[in-house]
Amino acid sequence: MKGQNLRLFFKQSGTSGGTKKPIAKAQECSYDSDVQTEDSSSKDTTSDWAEVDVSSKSYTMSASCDFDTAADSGAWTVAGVLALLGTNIDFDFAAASGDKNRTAGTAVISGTALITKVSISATNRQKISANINFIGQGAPS
Amino acid sequence: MLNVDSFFYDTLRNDAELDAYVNGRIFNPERLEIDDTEDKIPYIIIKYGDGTAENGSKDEVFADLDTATVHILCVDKDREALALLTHNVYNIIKAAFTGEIVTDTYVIESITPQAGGVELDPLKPCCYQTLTFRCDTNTP
Repeated sequence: MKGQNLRLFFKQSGTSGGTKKPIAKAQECSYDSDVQTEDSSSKDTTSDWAEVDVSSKSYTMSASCDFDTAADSGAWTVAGVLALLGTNIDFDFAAASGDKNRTAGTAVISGTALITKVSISATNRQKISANINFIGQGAPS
Repeated sequence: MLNVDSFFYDTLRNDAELDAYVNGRIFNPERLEIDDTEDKIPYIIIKYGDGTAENGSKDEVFADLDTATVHILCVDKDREALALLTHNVYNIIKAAFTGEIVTDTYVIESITPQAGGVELDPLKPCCYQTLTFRCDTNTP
């Protein structure tokens, strides 16, 4: 499976009946999960090897896309995502197919996340790009 | 897209002064056979170089050819004449491209020029140089 065919689909949390949409002209999406640990070794520990306990788990996501001002009802535009900054979204990392690769298939990872950052970059003689960062809320499934 | 070279060909052919200087010898994509045999100079050959899909997104299962390269070979009798010819070709194209070019089959959004080295054919003799224009395009 190539990266072309895995997309991030989401909708604003709490919007009943709404369908999850991908980001228009998406270039990249990524998911990173992480574990925070604390040292659990003590004077009872005889080995030289460290022992740790899991203190917490977390995950973050990011996505990038080409910036475009054109309206797009089938996907999130940068302007639309910008309006969701600081709000929760329900998401699926899912296989994509169909027209413009926007039909979601079986979800690989699902959950709720907070949009923490939207940035736009315009470099001379290059396409304008936008980057979006998310942080997970609770456990993914 | 696949025929952006036509913008360059039409632009140069439509410049009466240039067309008169090269006596109509502006070719796309190759010289006519009779000219190749007689090898008259000066002449200009415009050729579509290549097209690539550099900026596809996840929306595109079949990516657009959105970057095209056009080569313009300029040939003249000596270095001085070649310099005047290439400057003329460059300025004509620059003047014609005042912004986005929209046709039925392509849109040229921006052009980035590049000049190759000057070469000498001592047997003819003549000097020649290729100007390369990279075009960022989009289907209309």
